[in-house]
Amino acid sequence: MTKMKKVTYAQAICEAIDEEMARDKNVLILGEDVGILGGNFKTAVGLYQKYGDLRVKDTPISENGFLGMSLGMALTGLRPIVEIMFSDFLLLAADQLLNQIAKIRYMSGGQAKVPLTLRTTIGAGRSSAAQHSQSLHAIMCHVPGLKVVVPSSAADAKGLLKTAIREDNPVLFIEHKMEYNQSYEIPEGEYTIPFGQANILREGKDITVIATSNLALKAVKAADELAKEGIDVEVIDPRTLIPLDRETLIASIKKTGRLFLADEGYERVNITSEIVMDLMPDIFYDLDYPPERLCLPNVPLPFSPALEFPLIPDQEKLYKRIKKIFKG
Amino acid sequence: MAKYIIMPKLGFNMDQGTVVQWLKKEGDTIEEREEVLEIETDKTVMPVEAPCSGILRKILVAEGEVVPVTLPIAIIGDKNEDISQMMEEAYQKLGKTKVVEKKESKVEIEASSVIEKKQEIESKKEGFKKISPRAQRKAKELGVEVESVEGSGLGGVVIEKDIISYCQNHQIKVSPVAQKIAKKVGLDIGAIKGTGINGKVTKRDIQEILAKSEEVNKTEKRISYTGMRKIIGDRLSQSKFTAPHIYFTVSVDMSKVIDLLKRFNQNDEKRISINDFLVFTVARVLSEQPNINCSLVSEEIIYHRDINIGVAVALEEGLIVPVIKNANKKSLSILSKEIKKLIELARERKLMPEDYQGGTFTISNLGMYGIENFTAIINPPEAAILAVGVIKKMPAVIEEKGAEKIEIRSLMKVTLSVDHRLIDGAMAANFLKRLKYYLEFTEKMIL
Amino acid sequence: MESNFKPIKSYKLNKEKLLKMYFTMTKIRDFENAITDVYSRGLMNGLAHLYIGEEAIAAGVCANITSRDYAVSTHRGHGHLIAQGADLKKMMAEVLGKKDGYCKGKGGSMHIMDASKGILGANGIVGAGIPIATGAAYSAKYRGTDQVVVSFFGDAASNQGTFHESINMAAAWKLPVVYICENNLFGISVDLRKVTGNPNIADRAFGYGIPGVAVDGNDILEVYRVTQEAFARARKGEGPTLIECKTYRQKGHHIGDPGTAYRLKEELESWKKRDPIKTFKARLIEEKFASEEEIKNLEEEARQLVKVAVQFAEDSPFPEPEEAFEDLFCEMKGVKE
Repeated sequence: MTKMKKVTYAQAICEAIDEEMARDKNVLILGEDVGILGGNFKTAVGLYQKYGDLRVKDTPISENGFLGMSLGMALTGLRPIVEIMFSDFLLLAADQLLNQIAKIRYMSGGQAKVPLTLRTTIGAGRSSAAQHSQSLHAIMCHVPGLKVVVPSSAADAKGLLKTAIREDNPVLFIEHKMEYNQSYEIPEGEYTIPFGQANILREGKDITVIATSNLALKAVKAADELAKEGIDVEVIDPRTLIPLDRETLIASIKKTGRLFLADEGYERVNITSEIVMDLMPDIFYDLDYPPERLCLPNVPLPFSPALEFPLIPDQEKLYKRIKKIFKG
Repeated sequence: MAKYIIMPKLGFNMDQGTVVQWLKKEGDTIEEREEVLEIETDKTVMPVEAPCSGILRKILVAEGEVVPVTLPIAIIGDKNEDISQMMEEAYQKLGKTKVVEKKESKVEIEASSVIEKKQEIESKKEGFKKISPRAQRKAKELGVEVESVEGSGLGGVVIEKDIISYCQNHQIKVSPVAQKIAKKVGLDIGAIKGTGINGKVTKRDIQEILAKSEEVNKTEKRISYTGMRKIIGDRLSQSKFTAPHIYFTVSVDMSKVIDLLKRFNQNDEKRISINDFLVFTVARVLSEQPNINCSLVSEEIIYHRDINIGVAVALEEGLIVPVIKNANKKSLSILSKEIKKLIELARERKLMPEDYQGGTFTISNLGMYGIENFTAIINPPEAAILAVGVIKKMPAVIEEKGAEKIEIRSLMKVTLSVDHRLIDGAMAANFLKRLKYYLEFTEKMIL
Repeated sequence: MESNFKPIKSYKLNKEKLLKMYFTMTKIRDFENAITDVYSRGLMNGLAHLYIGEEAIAAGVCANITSRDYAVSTHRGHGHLIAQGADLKKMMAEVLGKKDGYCKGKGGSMHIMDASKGILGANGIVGAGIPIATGAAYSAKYRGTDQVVVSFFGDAASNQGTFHESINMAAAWKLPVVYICENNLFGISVDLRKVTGNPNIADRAFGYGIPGVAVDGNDILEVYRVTQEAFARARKGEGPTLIECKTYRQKGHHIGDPGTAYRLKEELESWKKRDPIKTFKARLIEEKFASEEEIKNLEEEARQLVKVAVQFAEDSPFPEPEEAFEDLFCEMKGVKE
C-alpha cells in the first residue's frame, strides 16, 4: 500500500521539476516569473534559490524568442523545461513550436534530438476573459511532431511530468489553472507514469465517459450522483492525447455501447471530434446510441461571471447531459 | 569535349521555354558561365549561362521557338571538333517532341461523383423504425426480425437489450432464416439440434448440416453461364426469336464433285476439300442470285455488294465463324488455302475481328460427324444459312439414255434456313436448285 | 561602394590560411553553379537559393571557428554549410532528395543539418534560426565550454521579431554568440531601404548595448578580421556582437527569378565588378601570395570535389515511400507507446 501525502497541484508540479533537476544537471527551467517569484502559479517555488540563475531563468516577454532558444538548448545537450503561462500565449510562439520544434527531428532525417518540455495552462473560471482563458490543446495536436499530455489529477501530473522531462522528444504538457491551489493526495516518493496509458478512474457498464484534464475528476463526481439514478458510468482519463491509448478506450466502448466525451476546448475542432473519428472504425457496430459531448460553446469567453460560468463544462452539466441520454 | 546548352528548367511548373534572343552567334568564343541567350518562361525573361568554355558551334533552335525543358538548344565545343553525331541526336530529340500546348484544364465535374444524392432522411418519415448498430449486429446474430421488436431507447430506438429480451420472451426455436433455408433444401428441422439461445436452430446450424451432406453426395457440377458461350447463346436466341425461319432441304449427288476433287488432289499437296468446293459453288450461286445475299438492318434491306462467306468452326467454348471475303472473286485453290488458314487461326484462338466480321452468308457443315441433315440458326444479320450433312453412299435412281436404273451414288443433304422477312419460298428454292445444278454438273460453272 | 582593400600582409595571415579561404570560396561558387545545372536539368525539385556573390562572408566568418562551435543558417545556406566543413556529397544528395543525403531526403535544400559538425540547420522560416542560435549559446555558457555560436541571417530577417527578442536576451545574459547579418539589400523583391527606418543594421546594436560593426561583405579579409574580434569577445564571456556584412546577390532570390525586375542594372553591375572571389584572386596574385598556377590547381581541385558530389548524388537512390513515416520521434526504450 503506497503511502500518500497531501499537497496542492502546484506543489506536485514543483516537486516533479525539482526531482528531475536534481537528478540530471542538464535540466533547466525558463519562462516568465519562474525565477525569483517561483512561477505565477507557484510551480517553481524555491527552485531559483536552490539551483541558481543559470538553471532557473526569468525571461523577458519574448515567447517566440525564448521558445526558440529552448530549441537551441535542446539541440546542444540540455533538457529545457519552458513555462508559457497561458495556452493563449502559445500562439505567439507558434512558429517555433509548430514549424521548428515539432519538425526539426524529421527534417534533419533523425539527426536532431529535442528533449524539450513545454508547460502551459488551460481553463476558464477566473474571469480572465477571452484572451487568458482558452484551452487550445486541440489545435496543438494537429501538427505532427509533438507529444501532448493532459493530466487530470495532481498525482498524475507529477508522474507524467517526470516522464515528459525524461522523454527525448518535445512534449506539450497541459496543466489546468483552476487546479493549482487544490489539495490532493499523491503517492510519496518518486514515481513516473508512462505515456499512452489511459486511466480508468471509475468502472461502469452503462456508458463510457472520456474526459480530459480536470473534467475527468468532475465526471467521477457526476458518476457517483448518477449511480443513485441507476446509471452506472465508466470514466476514463486518456492522460496523453498523443500517443492515445486506443485499446483501453475501445474496450470500454465495446463493453458499454455508449460514449460521452468532455473537454474544455471550444466545441468546434475539439479534441473529442478527433478521438471519436479515430476510434469510429473500431466501435461503430458496438454503439447503441450516437456519441455525445460537452465542450465550451463556440464563443470567446466573456468577462462577467454571470456570462462565463454558464458556459464552462462542469460537474452539474455532465450530470444533466448523461442523465438525459438514459431518461430523456 | 562538346557539350549541349539545354533549355533549363527554372521553376517547378516550367515545362517549356521560348528562345527570346541569342546574345552570341555561331563561331563566337564563350567563357564558362557567360550569358549566351535569353529565354522566356511563363513568368519572366531569364539569361542562360554557358556550362563550359568553348566556341558556340551550333545554334539548334531559332529565336521565337518554343522548346520543352532539358532539351538541347545549342552546342559548345572546340573549333574543329566533329559534332555531327550530337547534332543528329539533338535534332532527333527536338523533332520528335511536339510542343506541348497548354490545354485549358476543364474541370469536369461528374455529377454522380461529386454530388451525392442526399437520401431523404427516412427517420423523419412516420413508421420507420430506428435501430442502433449494436442492436443490428445482435439481431443478425440471433436471427431476430427487427420489425417485431419494440424499441426502448430514446425516441423508440431499438437497442441491444431489446433484441435480447425479445428473443428470450418469444422463445423462438428456429430462426426465420434457418426456417427458409431448411424448407428450400427439404430438411426436417425437428431432427436438428440448435446452437442458438435456448437451443434455437440458427442459420449456421443448417449450413453446417448442408456442408456435411454436400461432401458425401457430390452430384452436380456448376459453372457460370458467361463469356463466349453466353455471348453466342444470346445471339443465337435473338436470331431465332426475331427472324421467322423457314427451312428447305435438297439432296445433292456429289459423285461428280468427289471425282473432280480426286483429280485435283492427285498432284497437289494442298488438298481441296468438299467444303472448299461448297464455298466456291455457293459464292457462284450468290453472285447470280444476290437477293439471298442481304440483311435487314433497322427497317432497311441492304443487298450487300460483297459476297463474304462464313464457315462455321466448332471450338470447345462454342461456334466461331471465320469469313472468306469476296469469295466469288477467288479461285478454288485460293479459297481452299484461305479457308485452311482461317480454320487454323480459329482453332488457335488467333482470329482478328476483321476475320469474323462482315459475313453475308454462312455454311455450317456437320458432315464429318455423320449427321445426315439438320436445321441451322441464321447468323445475324445474315439472311440465310446452309446446313450441310454427311455424304452417304445411297442407292439412287438414275436416268441414262432414257432408261431408269439404280446406282450407288454419293448423296448429301443440304438444308437452307432463310429469314422469311427477306427471302420467300421461291427465292430459297431457286437458290437450292441452282446450287444442286452446279454441284451435280460442275462443268456448267465454267460455261 | 568603392573598394579600399588593405594590403594582405597587414592582416598577418600565413599563405596556408589565405589559400584555404580562397579554396572555400571557390568551392562554394562551384557548388552553387552545379546547383544551377542540376536544377536546370530538372533533377532538383523545390526552390534553390544561391549564395553567388556572398561567398566571402561564409568563408571569412567560418575561418575563425571549428566544427566544435555551432552555426545556424538560413534558406540561403549552402555557403555556410560548406564553409563549416559539410560534406558536399551528402549536401548534393540531400538537395536532389536522395536517400544518402544529410537528412535522408526529408529536409531538402532549406533544411540541411549536419549535427556532427555543429551545423544546427539551414532554416526555411526567415529569422527562425536566430533564437535557436541564441539558445545554443546559452547552452554553451550553461555547460561552461568555450564554444561559440554564429547566427547567420539576412537583412530582411533583421525586421522579424525574433531578431529583436534574441539579440536582447543574448545581450542581457552575455551569451557567446556572434550575429552575422548578410545585408544584400533585398528581401526577395523588397528593397530594405524602402521598408526600414534605419537601413544601417549595425546601428541597432547600440540599442541593445552591444558592439555593432558594418563591414564590406565582399572583402574576405575584412570579414575575417572583424569576426575574429567578435568571437574572441564571445569566448571571453563578453557577450554578443552584431556584424553587418554589406554584400549583394549576383543572382535572383531563387533559381527562376532573374533578380532584375526590382533591382537597378547599374547597382548589380557595380557589385559584380567587386566579385569577392575575383578580387581576392587578383590580390593574392598581385601581392605575390600565390602563383596563377597554384590558384588554378585549387580551382581545379574544388571543381573535382563538386563533380564527384554531383555524381554521388545522381547515383544515390531515392528513399522508399515507407520512410516518410520514420524519424518523427526518438524511440524511448522500455516505454509503452
